[in-house]
Amino acid sequence: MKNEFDLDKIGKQLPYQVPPGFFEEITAQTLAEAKRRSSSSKSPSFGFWKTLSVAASVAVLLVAGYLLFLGRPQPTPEVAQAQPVHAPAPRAEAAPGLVALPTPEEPPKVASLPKQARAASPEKEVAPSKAPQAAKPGQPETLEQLLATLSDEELQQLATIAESEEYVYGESIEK
Amino acid sequence: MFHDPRTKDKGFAMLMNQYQTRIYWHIRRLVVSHEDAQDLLQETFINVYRYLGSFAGDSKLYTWLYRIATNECLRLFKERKRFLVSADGINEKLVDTLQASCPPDGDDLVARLQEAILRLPEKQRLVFNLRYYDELPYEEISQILECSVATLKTNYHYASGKIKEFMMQEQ
Repeated sequence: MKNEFDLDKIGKQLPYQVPPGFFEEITAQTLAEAKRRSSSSKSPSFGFWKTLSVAASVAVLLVAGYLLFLGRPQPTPEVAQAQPVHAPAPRAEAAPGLVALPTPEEPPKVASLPKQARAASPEKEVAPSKAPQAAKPGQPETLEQLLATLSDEELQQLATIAESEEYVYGESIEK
Repeated sequence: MFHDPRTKDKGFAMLMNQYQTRIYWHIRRLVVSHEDAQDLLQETFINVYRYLGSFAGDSKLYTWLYRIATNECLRLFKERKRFLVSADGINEKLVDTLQASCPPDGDDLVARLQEAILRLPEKQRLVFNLRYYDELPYEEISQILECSVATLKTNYHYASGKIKEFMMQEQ
């Protein structure tokens, strides 16, 4: 037969002690505390002003944030539009941020052609991104580099112009 | 008596004098520490003072008092569990407090029984205390803990078995 522990052996005793006079004093203490909390919760003025001050602080923060957002400097369109009328050298010296923000109608100025080639073939404004001379105006460019940027049509036109002129590079052409 | 402001305080004092001992020991068995029990006893009756006028009377008054006191204890446990690594840590803390609270010349068997109860899961501990020490019927415990009678009986059965097993191991 299994030997089980009998709870009735111990009964309802507890190992805890209570300070003397505790139960005599706790009622008055509790009532005083209950009345104190009840009276403080009944005064709405403190709660009202507190709520109002919090709401005012939040409103001030929102307005300040909105004004800061409005006051943030935006890139002006006049500077970007002024780029096309200048020579490539000033454009290359401009801030990278401005150069990197092209207007929708025009391609990036860093990769743009010289004026004559651009007027001859507008569709080639995209291709000359491979042309190195536009990025560095100070670097001398060779004839071969310049000819490499021209299309067949442009070369034909130049050849026609050259044939019609008497002197090319200081040499006379004898026909 | 509680609705009339002129007699409310007197009625509250009478109510507290009648039930404070039962409610105190119910709380003390759960939280072990006298200081915690005192605080929770005060919080319980402060809530009673605030909401006594709105007591609907759909349950017995002391059932309502037990429910407020139990909820205060559970709120305390929930707050303290946030600072513990594991959920079982709260039980270990209570056992430590028990060993510190017991007088050195006290009955060792009584202290070990309390330790066995404190090592139970929260729900089983609540059911066992209310049934064994307060001798409340399951229907009233059901109103206090908002739990079905069948679940309470199951919890009490498991709790008794674990307590007996613990006491047999310690002998």
